[in-house]
Amino acid sequence: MKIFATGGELIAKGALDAGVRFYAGYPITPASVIYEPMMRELPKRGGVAVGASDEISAISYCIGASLRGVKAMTATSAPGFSLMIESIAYALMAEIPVSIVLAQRLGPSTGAATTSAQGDLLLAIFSNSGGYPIPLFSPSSIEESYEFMIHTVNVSEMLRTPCVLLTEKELTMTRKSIDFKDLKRPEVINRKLFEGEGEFKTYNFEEISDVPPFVPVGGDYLTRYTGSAHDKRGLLKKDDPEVIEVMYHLKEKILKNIDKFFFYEYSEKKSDVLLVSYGITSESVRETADSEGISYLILKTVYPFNEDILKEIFEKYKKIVVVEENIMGLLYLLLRYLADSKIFSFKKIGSLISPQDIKKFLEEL
Amino acid sequence: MELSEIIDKVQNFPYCPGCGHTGVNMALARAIKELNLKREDVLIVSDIGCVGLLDKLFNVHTVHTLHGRSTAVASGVKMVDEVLFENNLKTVVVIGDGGATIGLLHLVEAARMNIDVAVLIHNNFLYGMTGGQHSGLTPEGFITSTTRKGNPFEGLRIIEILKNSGAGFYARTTSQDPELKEIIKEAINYKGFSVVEILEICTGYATRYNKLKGSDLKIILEKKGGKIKKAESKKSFGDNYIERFLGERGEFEFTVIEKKEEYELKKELRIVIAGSAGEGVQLASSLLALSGILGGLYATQKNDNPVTVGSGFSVSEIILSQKKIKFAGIEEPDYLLITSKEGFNRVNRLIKKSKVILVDESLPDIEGSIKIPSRKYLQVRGGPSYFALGVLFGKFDILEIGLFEEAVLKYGRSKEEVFEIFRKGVEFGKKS
Repeated sequence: MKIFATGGELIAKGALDAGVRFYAGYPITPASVIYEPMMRELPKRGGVAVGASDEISAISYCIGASLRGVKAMTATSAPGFSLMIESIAYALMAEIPVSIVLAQRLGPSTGAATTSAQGDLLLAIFSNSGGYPIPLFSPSSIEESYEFMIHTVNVSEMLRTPCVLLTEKELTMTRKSIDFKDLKRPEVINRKLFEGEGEFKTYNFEEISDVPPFVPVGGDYLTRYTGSAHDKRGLLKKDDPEVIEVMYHLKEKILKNIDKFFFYEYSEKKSDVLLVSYGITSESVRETADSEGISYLILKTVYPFNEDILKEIFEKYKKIVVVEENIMGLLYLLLRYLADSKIFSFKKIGSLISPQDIKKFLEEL
Repeated sequence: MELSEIIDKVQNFPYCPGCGHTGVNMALARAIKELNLKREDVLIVSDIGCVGLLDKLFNVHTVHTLHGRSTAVASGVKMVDEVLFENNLKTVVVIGDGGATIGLLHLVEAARMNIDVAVLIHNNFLYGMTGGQHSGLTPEGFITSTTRKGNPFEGLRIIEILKNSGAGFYARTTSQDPELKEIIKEAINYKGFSVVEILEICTGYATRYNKLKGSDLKIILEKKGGKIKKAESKKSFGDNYIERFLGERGEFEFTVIEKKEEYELKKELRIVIAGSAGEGVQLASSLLALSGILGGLYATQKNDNPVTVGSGFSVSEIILSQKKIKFAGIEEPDYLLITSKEGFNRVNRLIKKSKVILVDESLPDIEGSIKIPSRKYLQVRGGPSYFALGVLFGKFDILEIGLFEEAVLKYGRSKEEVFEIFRKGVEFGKKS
């Protein structure tokens, strides 16, 4: 038995299977293909799905729902994501899990709603005030939309921090025949709850990279959530040493746990060249690499990096070509410090990067 | 429970002497005490401004949010609490001028959906924490640090806005009102959205610029329409949601395909159908893809259209393959089917790269193409595409006709009409 499904539907199914029980959305191409099935399917599982008056409301509702203790998510495109930025930084600071799907289209601004693109990578990772890392996952095929939606929710819950699933128009809206039983199903991770040992503090941790055990608002222990600089009890303070420790903790709980969520696909052939990509362009990279006998690396956790793994792979090649559908070569810019002068960028916009496009670039390299 | 278990000592409050916030905070704490609420069953959501400093003072659940967002965050808490839990978390939103104006749409939405939160708007006619600038709630003529000649505009009639947005409980009074505590108690107990606008004087700034006595608050209140309090029973968000949304349990509604047979495709098949939006191109294309899947093949369908659904071009690229498909785009179509002028313009670049082209007879000549009368069948949604597909099946034997007919039967619309047009296409294809 097969299904004929879009990536958007698989994201919705992945979210449900990851245990999401709250969805708030506002329609926008190409993320409406997630909104619609969530509005249809979530109530059938006893969850809550609502339409919000704008994307700020949508993410704020999600934050509230997550505070009450349920897994919450929303999906949007860059214009809506731009409105959510302040709230994503809030969720990061207040250590509230929430998952956001960013379905890219051609930007900047309203851009072209029905044209594919990969121009929002840095927007997703670095838009938060303070410059903290936001774990970012990207499915490299329509099928993986399911698996990586689950990972996104999992990591958000595990680390108590907002996570982004970065996808794009041709992944969310293209239909594909799929053997559903063949899809990878990561084990579901739930946030760690406070179980009554010792004093409860909303932001308590022993090791700086520990994730504080969670109590929902309305739970048995009084909580104090805040987006202002705070100590472990959640009390607003300015430059107290404990406050600064909490500020470092927000980064360390993500970076020091990278081993638990660094997903990638590496295919090693005897070649001088390594192709690197993520998201929609990955399928063209695979096709090119397989036909030309070239190695490739697909990042599925696009940020943060496990630098040791990347360095070890990069060392084996004379030339590294980062392939992506945007104007500046955004992943290329991020990876440059790990690969010196041997890294090259192949980028274009306006239509999908095809295997032929990549072959042509390699011939001229 | 003692009051001291709910709220800090007044001498620890961060407010200026005479500030109305002190009295309102105490009224709120007393209301919680007299309602005999467990501290664990109370949530106070606040945001930015002097009034937002209260989360440190209260020993209940507190959430301190972004400026203006407290009503929305509280709404999210309550949407879940009302539907998935037992609606036992009494949620109070405490905001000032900024929280009310930045978050105006959140207030309107919470009122419209009747979400069970109690909102206390501390209206002190200006932005106090940032230096006494005028706000959207500043009354006309009021002097602030940014309206030295007096505010030229009327302040927002926030209660009237929320009343007209569907608020079931609304009240307006001053921080000096001895009944304030009772009003807050009623607001907290009201099942649904409740709002209390509390007029206050900012002793830090309002008195610096305006000649104000404490009794002047009553005059401002009268100008705004006087003290009011009204409650009417309405269905809450949770009751509505449970009634209208939560229903039968069921499986995810995917398009599911049981393989009918094992069709052997000699080589991968790449077909592009280009027509006009609103003419069923994508629907017909999905039936072609589904017929392939019924034959045990892998299929992709990548669509291209402008943002509107009923005008402009509509193009579908369908790949059928014996192997799993990676890249879903088509650079060199085996078959290019063009059924309209808009489709023609969109796929112009593919014309030279296509092996076989079927083009509607109304369109310009393309060398080596087959002209088809597809637009004769516009009366049925997808008609031109079904005819073109019929020609393709009839002339080129791309797949078994039975598979396509099966797909139409299982997944199509207007089945009889579609069969008729498709078969006419097949006949046309066989003859041409």
